[in-house]
Order: sequence, then C-alpha cells, then structure tokens
Amino acid sequence: MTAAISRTFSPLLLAVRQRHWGDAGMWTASFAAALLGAATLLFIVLFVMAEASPVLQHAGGLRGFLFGLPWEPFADPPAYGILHSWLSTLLVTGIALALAVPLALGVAVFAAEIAPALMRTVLQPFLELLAGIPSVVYGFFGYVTLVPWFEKHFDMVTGESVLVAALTLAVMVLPYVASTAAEAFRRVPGALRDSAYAMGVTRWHVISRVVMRHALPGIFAAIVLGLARAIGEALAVLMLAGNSTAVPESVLDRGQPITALLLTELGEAGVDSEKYHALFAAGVTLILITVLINLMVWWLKRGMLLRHA
Amino acid sequence: MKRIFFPAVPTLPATANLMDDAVTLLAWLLGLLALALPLGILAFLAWHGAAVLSWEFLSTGPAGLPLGTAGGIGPAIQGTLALVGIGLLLALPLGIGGGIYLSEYAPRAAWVSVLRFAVECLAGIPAVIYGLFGYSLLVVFLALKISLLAGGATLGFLMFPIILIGTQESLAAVEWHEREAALALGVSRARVIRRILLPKAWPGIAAVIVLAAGHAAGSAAPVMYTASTIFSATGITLASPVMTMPTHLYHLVAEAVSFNHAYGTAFVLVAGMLLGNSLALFLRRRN
Amino acid sequence: MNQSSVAYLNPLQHDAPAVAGTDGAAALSVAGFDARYDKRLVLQDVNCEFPPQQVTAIMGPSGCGKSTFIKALNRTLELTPGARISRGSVLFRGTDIYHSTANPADIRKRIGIIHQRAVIFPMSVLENVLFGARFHQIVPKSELEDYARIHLERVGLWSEVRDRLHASAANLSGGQQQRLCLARTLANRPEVILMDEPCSALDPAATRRIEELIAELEKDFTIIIVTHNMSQARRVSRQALFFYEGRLVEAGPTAQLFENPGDALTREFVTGQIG
Repeated sequence: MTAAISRTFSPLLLAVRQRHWGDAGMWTASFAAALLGAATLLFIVLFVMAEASPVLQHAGGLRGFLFGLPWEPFADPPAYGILHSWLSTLLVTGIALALAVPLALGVAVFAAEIAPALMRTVLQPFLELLAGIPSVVYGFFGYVTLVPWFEKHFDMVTGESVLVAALTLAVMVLPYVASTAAEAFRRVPGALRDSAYAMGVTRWHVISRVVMRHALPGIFAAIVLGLARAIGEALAVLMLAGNSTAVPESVLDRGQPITALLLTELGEAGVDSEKYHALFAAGVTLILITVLINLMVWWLKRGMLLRHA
Repeated sequence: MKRIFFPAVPTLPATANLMDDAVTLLAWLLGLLALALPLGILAFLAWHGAAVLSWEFLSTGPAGLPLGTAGGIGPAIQGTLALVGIGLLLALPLGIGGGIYLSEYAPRAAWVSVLRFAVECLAGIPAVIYGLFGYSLLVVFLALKISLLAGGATLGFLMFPIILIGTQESLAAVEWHEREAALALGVSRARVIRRILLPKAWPGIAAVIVLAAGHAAGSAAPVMYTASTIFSATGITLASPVMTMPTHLYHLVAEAVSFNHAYGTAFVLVAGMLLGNSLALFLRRRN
Repeated sequence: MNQSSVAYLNPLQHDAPAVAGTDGAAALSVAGFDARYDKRLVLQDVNCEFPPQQVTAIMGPSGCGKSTFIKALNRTLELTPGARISRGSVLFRGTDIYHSTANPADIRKRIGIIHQRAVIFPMSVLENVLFGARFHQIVPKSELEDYARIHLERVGLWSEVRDRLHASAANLSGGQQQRLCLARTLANRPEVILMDEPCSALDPAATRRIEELIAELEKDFTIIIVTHNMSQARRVSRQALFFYEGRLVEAGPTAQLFENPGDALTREFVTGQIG
C-alpha cells in the first residue's frame, strides 16, 4: 500500500525537488480532475441509491418492487412494481440484439475482410453517421414509417409496440456492434491470415475458421457493447414502445422499458413521494446493469490482450 | 519438353466454393445496406423537411395555435447551443485535465485501475440516468430549478467521461521516444506535455470534443427534466428554462402538433450532427 | 559575431571550474554498477572511468546492455518504466548522480544524449534547436536567434536551414535531423555528450559528417559513443569499453583493444567471431 502511495506522489515530489513549479502545478490540477471524475461516479451511484432506498420499506419490499407488484400509481393503495418494465426492456433488447448482431457481424466481416479499399474508408464514417443520429430522430423516424405500416398491415389500434421499438433499436445498435467487431477482426495478426490462405482454402473458410475464432473475445465485447447501448436507450423506445403499464404478452403488445418509464413518470412524481423513490430504484437497476456490463467488457478486453501478447 | 501438371493440392469440394460465393454476396449486400441506411434516413428527412426549411425557420420562435405549427425553432437552436456551451465549461477542464493525469502521471497501481474502470462506467451510463441525477441533485437538492444552469451542468457530466477517455487515448498514442528525447534535455514534464504532447495529440482531442458535444446536443433525456420547457417566453438566461431541439422535436411528435415542423427540426438536428461528424473526421485525418 | 558569443563556443570557459580539478582526472566514474528491468539483471558489476575531453567508445554484440548503460549515465534510463539501477554509483564531478538529493533534470542538462533515431519535435527548426536552452534560460530572449545560429553553424547545418528556420523541422533529411538533434543538445550547454548509435540509421555520407563533428567536438567535450560498427570505433575513439552479456569485459585504449586485446572474448569480438 505504501509503495502505491509513494508511486502516486513521486511525480509531484520529483517536480518539487527539481524546482519545476509548472510541473508541480500541472500534476496537482490534473490529479484533482481525475479524482473528481471518480468521485462523480461514486456520487451518482450513492445519490441515486440514497433516493431509492426507501423503496425497501414499501409494501412488498424489494421482491414486490421487482416481481410482485404492478405499476398502479392510482390504485388504492398505490403500487409501484417494475415487473412490466424490466420485462419490456428484456423483450425489446433481446429482439433488437437478435436482429442486429448477425447483421452487424456480416457488415463487420465485409468491412474488415471483403470490401475493397475504397469502400473500406467510406464505410467507417457511414457507420459513425448512423451511430451519431440522435435517439429522438430515430424515434421520430420509426413513428412516421414503421408505426403506420404496422397499423395498416396488422390491423392494430396503434402501431406502437414492442416489436416496432425493437426493430428501430436494432438499427440504432447495428453500427456500434459492427464497428467494434470490425476492429476486432482487423486486430487479427496478418501472419495468421497468411498462413491460413497458404493452405489453399477459400476466403470464407479462413474467415469463419481462423479470423472469427481468433477475434471471438472482441466479438463478445462488441455484442456486450450493443447490449449496453440498447438497454440505455430512452427516447426512441419512449416514442415507439407504447407506454403501457401492463405486462406485454406478445411482441405486438405495448410495453414500457425502464428508460421510458423513467421519462414518462418523473414529471409527475412529487419529490420524496413513493413514486419518486420507486423511479430512482428503477434507475439503480439500470446503473447496476451498466456496471455489470462494463465489468464483462473489462474482463473480455483483458482476455483479448492476453491473446495478442 | 512436355510439361505435366500435377495439382499440388486436391481440388476443393464444390460446396466450399459455393459457400464462399454465397457469403461474399451476402456480405456485399449487408455492406451496401450499411451504406444505404444513413443515406436513406438523411434523404427521407431532407425530402420531407425541405418544405419547412428557411432562414425564418432557423431564426424565429414557434408560433401559431397550438404553438409550433408555424414559425420556427430559433430559440430551440439557441437553447441547445447554450446548454452545450455551459456543459463544455464544466467538461473541458475536468476531461482534459483528467486525461492528462491518466496518460502522463498515473502510476501503475491498483487504485488507478479502479479509476480507469470508474471512468469507463461513467461513459457507459445511460443518458437518462444523468437526467435523473441532474434532476435530483441540481434541480431539487441545490434548488437550481429547471434552468439552463442545471441542464448545462447535467450535459457537462455527460460529456466529461467521453472527453477524458478521448484525451487520454490521444496522448497515449504519441510515441514514447518523443517524451524520452525531450525529457533527456532536462526539461520538465509539464513543458513536454504543453509543447510536444498536446500539440501532437490535439487533433484527436478536438475530434473527441466535437463528437461529445454532438452527442450531448442531440440527447433529450438528460435535459428533459433539468432544463427544457415547451416554450420560453424569456430569453436565454442561466436561471430560466430553455427550449432545446431534441425536446422540441419530441414535443411536436408526442403532442402531434406539426409533423412538417417535426421533419424540419429532425433535419436540422441531423444536419448539425453531420457537420460535427465531418469536422471530427477531418480532425482525425490530420493526425 | 559579438564578444559574448565567442564564449559560447567554448563552454568550459564559461561554466564552472574545469573537470580536471578537484576530483581527479575522470569526467564520469562508474563503480559497482548493476542495472535491472523489473527483476531481470541486465548489467552487472560495471566499474570504469571516462577520461575528460576524449571520445570513448562502448562496443559489444547486440543485447549486451550497452544502450542500457549509456542511458543510465545521464538518468534517462529510469524514464523507461521498470528500468532502474539497483546497485552502485555514477560519479560526476565528485557527486553520485543517483544520490537521493540529486536533481535529475539538472543532470540531464549537463550530460546530454542523442539517440539512434533522431527525434524532431513538432515545431520549427529554430524552436527545435532552442527547446532545451529556452527552458533552462541559458541566454536572454534577445540573444536566442544568434545563439541558435551559432550552434547550427557548429554542426554544419546553418547554410542548409538558414532559409527555413521557421518551417517545420519534419522535412529535413535523416542526416540533417540527426545534426539538428546534436545542435539541440549542444545548445543545452552540456559537459558530457552521450551518443547511442547515432549513425546506424544514416547513410555513409551523413555518417562521415557526424564523425567529423565528433572529432571537432572532442576538444571541448567528453564524448561517449555506443557503436556496433567496429571500424567507426577505431576511427573516432581514443578509449574503448567492451561489453558482453551485461558485463564489462575489457577497457583500454582503442588501438590496444583491437591489436592486442587482453581478454579472449575481446579477441573473438574484434576478429568477428562473435557478435
């Protein structure tokens, strides 16, 4: 421990000993900035958790909140359970990934292995463009294209549904998974590829048996990244999933993922009311999922580094 | 002499070549799809939105009954710019400073790994959580109320981890002997950072700032409950709420006010994002 | 050239008392020296002395630790993470440069180094030359351009860059860049100049120019040069050290090491049987 402390402060001590005052100043300023960063995460987590903790005292406790209770703020007594919400998140995210991942891997294979050089340079900015379109614009786009289409062809009262939200989410997630996976493919050492080709096999054989296998941790990391993006998506699902507090029973039902729940109900939640605390508890679940996902990515990345060592 | 040809490798089974061709075709289709999608979305928005676009649209405020069916989105554009500006005031010093620390001064220690992990988590936390946090801390607890200041600070928190990670990566990309050669002259670390490393890393850092600002500008979730309002009667002041482009678009659609104007707003948003992305690309290529 | 600039050419007159004064004849003196990368021992029990105002060559096969050794002489070794000296001392002007109260930045100013790959900073030619000098405030601001010119003339670069002093230094050729690095180091007013294989990335013409420069600089500076080129060692140096697998095998006058080596390993090396 003391070794870590001395190693931390040694640049400052060295700067003072050498009388490089500018250096000491820069160390202090940047150290403070970095610490503030970590403090922010801690602060956000603690603050949100603090506002969420009264939920444990509610009727039903934690189990009721997560599984038992429905979301009925106007019932007597009011109930604040988020079962319908995280189920919606699960459905929407699951379908979105099931659609997006295979397509994205295909695009990645194209971008990294098959595309001619000119297309390769063009593809990357195009993927970044897709990734940069704001969520609200995707929601709007889905609202004016998919929703009416579904209403017409499936004879629905409203086209807003889990499926429509999932389809739009799939397009939003695609560029993230595709560019991360393409990056993983590019990191496969050229020597490995060359020796495989030297066996006289087809390109697909090399890609599927050698390249993809080697890039597997990177592919997992890409999928996990897409998952994180999908779970955290707010505006698009708010506009497309339908915002129903009932548990969705089919993909054409309306749903309300956790992010949409937060945005819908926060405006009507009086500060320190039961609803307020319940919403923060929903926020805590999102934070926990994000941290878990980051842990997974961290672990996968370390696996990748060790592979390439 | 007659040449006799012996195949060195037995000929491939027919299925292998078929598979290869099929996959190649599929990959090409997907690649073209990836190119067509963004172009398609842009074209769609441009076509429908072009009817509404005009200088008036960009400069004046919403009018008509209900509000938003006529007039423009001028205040929304100003509000978004103001929010991002305030956010950058917070995010730039913290992000660049923290990035310098993690790249140049941080030792190899356990607590540094924890710090790096914390920053990556921050970058991955959904924007709506920042909105929740901003609401409870800034609007309620610090009683800043729904205002430009609260929303700007929330966006600042949102942008800060992105800028930090980008700065750190841009600095780390500068090769080791640049540092070694400069330090070998007996020059201080701060001088090396200022005169050699930052100038070299600058295009990458600027690109990340542009991307972070673009991301913040298009995010409705963090500002919905911290800064935005349907219509601002007052001008842009720190203590009053502001209109923002993403929330205005949401309002136009959710309340079914005006789809024409919604197309226009969406187009302006996407055009702005396009400009930002192109700038970032240009900066990255300069590196 | 004005009066004060003449003094710049001969730093020993301008600076503190000459080396051959209080502490004996050696400019640098190494005793009981061990160097490690993390736990791995790369140099073991090195003892030697470097005579002042002479060129000493350090030779040996690749991997024998010569680069590590020379970097340790001006405390640039520790800039590499994990690298350190684990035992011993390096005496410069009578004090150990590794003593806990030593000022590494000051040491690096007085013992300069040029590397195999010329590192040009992202600034103009003029700013490159003056980078260290400006930081250490060696001359007042008004004299900076003159000061730079003197050193550029010294390395024979002035006529080639006089028209593009303010242009980026990145457009110079390899040989020009290396001479620029030398000018930059000289402008820092060192007493000892270390060179880590300065010519191995250069063509023969550029190499010859650097070697001519070394011969000129010898009268004013102590120069220590690492080289894997044996003929270069014979051409430029007066003394030589032979390293093998982290140990100093033999040290002495260059001519003697080549014609009449004392150790069998040295003989094998100079006759090309090893390394």
